[in-house]
Amino acid sequence: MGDMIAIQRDSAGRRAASYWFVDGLPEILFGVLHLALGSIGLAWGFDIKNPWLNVAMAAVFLPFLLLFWKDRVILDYFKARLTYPRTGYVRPPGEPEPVLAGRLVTLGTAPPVDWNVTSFRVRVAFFFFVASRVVNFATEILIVDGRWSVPIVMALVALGVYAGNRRDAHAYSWQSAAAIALAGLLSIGLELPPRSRQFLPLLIGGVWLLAHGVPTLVRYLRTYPAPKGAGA
Amino acid sequence: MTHKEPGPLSEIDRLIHEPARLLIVAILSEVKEADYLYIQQETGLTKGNLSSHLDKLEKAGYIEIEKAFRGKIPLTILRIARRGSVAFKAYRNQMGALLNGR
Repeated sequence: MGDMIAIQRDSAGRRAASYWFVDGLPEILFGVLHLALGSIGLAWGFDIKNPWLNVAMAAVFLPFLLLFWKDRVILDYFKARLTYPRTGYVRPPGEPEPVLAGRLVTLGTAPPVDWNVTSFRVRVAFFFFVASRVVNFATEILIVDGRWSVPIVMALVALGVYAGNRRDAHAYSWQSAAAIALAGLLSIGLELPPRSRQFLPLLIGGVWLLAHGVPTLVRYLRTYPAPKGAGA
Repeated sequence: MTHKEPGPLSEIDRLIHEPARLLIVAILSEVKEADYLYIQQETGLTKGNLSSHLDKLEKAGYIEIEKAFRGKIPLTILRIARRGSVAFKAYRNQMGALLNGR
């Protein structure tokens, strides 16, 4: 049986970096926690007198922080069971430098290949969290009507997600980024208490991340069914 | 009659020059490590052919092969060795000189 040598248009390092997202797991994991935290926060804003709400908030917030801190290790755990047996394991070159200033400098520019994998949490997921805090700051400190701060902040998030990743191994289309801004705009019509509005960016982020991750996972699992025997 | 010096083609590392091995080394030179299955997917080689090429590269000291576990899944981890890295760099320079006339 003859071999077909694969022709690669991207560099091997770039392909290895984009391989991290082949199963949609990074987006799903971050999406679920964003959605959970956003939903609980929304209920909390309604002043629902339920002591379990605080427990639920803590129960979601801790894994949320843990995922931001150790996303690579946590995702590796899931990938070891789902992805590596199907399509193999690769560790892209280098580990990201733990210097926040260095990361921020790369916004909007082509990042080095070795930053593509773990910078996802900073250049995509973290934007929604920051947006949530900005809306809170605008509502509580600047006394800006949250009805308007959410669309403005989400438009900036959309711009950041698009520009910050456009040359990345895992880029997002402008249409996809525009959906974030549109969701922010649609939130104007929602009747919510001011305290709840700060959680809208997390909700929007959760839904947006899941909308990317879930179809990717479904497509991946359809393309690569579970192997009968593991190992080489 | 003057004797011409051998051209750069004679210096080409034929172990790397073979297309399948070149692809394997090129991939491994850009990642920290990869497993057998990933390299097989990326190269499109059959198991037997890939094993044979890996064996040659390992015997030449160009790559390192390690049996490991990721969770409960056994993996055959492949890494480029220092010798392989140097050889690949030299190969790229030689091919560059040959094709670009440098």
